[in-house]
Amino acid sequence: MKLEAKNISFGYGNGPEIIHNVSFSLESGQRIGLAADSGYGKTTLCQLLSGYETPKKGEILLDGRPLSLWEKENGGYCPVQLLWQHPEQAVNPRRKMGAVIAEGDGIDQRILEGLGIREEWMERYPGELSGGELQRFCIARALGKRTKFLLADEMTAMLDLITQSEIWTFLLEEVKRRDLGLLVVSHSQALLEKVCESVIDLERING
Amino acid sequence: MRELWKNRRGRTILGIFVTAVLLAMICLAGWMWSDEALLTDLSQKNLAPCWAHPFGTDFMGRDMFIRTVTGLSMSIRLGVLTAFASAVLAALLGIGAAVLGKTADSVITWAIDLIMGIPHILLLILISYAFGKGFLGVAVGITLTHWTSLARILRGEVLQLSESRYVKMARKLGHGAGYISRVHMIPHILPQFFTGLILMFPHAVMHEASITFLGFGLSPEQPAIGIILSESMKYLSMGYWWLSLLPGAFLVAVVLLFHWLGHSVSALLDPDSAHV
Repeated sequence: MKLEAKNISFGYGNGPEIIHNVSFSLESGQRIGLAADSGYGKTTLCQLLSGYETPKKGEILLDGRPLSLWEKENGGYCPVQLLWQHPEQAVNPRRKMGAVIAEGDGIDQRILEGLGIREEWMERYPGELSGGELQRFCIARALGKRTKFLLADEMTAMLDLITQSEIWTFLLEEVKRRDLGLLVVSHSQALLEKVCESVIDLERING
Repeated sequence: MRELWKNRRGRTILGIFVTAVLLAMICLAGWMWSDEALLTDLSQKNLAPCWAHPFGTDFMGRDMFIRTVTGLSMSIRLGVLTAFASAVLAALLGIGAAVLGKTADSVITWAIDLIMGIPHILLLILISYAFGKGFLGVAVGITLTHWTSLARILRGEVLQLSESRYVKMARKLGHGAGYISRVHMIPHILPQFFTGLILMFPHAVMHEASITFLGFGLSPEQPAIGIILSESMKYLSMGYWWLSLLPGAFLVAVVLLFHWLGHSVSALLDPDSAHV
């Protein structure tokens, strides 16, 4: 499969265009890094690619058909899943972690084990877990059966190095096993070089 | 019982239970005594508090304890009715403003600003007067003036929730509006609604007493707290302190009980403090 951004432009409200005529593509099994300075629009591009925002011009295509069409055919499930930087904002503070996982699309036991999620955490509320533990849940939730592409937006920026390496080791295995496409956004050049096949500089393709 | 007493959560639940029973008892007692509250005995008039009449008697020899309880009972019933009606109105308009689009939002927000901009008691008097005073006037007046702040809170909550990352995420995970409102919205809104509802009681009770005191509320033959207080003003200079002090203190006590009840329920339902 191929995720494609075709000449997209976007700005918030009536504000200035942040993304200007960007074209970009990501194939299944490919691991691409995305780098740019703070505030340049990396997160915005990720939100466009995963359907959270709609481009003002251009379109987001998956195998040549609009992403929104895929969502409709999939019963609303978006095959492109975004992992947010702050896991504590991405889970409902009133729901136990077991319910958070159940919200995903049939999450395999293998994924939970691979991410080191303990059974007893399922009975806890988000406020009773650390940031690293929460982020594992968010990654697991996004790895549902119908997920084809994963966008990791500064996913491990707030985690310590040991946790980072645990999470990335598992994720790279999983991506390979399921032939997922992976886009990694990070400020860490070292991380991008380690996990990605190639790195794109957003400042270069944003015309 | 002993188990409940061990932590703060248990003690709060116990406190809520006791308070609710106490308020219900006042309400019920006043209801049953509604005839006794009008009984006059001119041989017993203007008595200071004693064993037979713990709150004394008034100029017509009516027992002030029975009158106070009856008045509070009327206030509580009216308060519950108006607070409930007002909270339902707030929920409908607040959630409506958040989900029905821009036009509905601006109309409802404008109405909220308008009502909040007019001095509360003035609007209350106007509406009560327009509806012919009495029970209906007070009920409609309080209902129409108390919904605004709760509506504003609920509107904000719904708007904030639908923009929150976990709700956006749930949509992308293929969950529809029904699932999201059931799982993410209602559990979040309901505690706010109940807290707002209970915290509206003290306001409603106070305003009922105020406009009745001013003569725009319940009619003078009813033993309402406002009537009791306004009658007692005439006798205050003659040294009959019990006519106003004891009913007034009881009104304040009931208001504080409701206030405490609201905050306790809020502490139990809010996830930030629920486990403390």
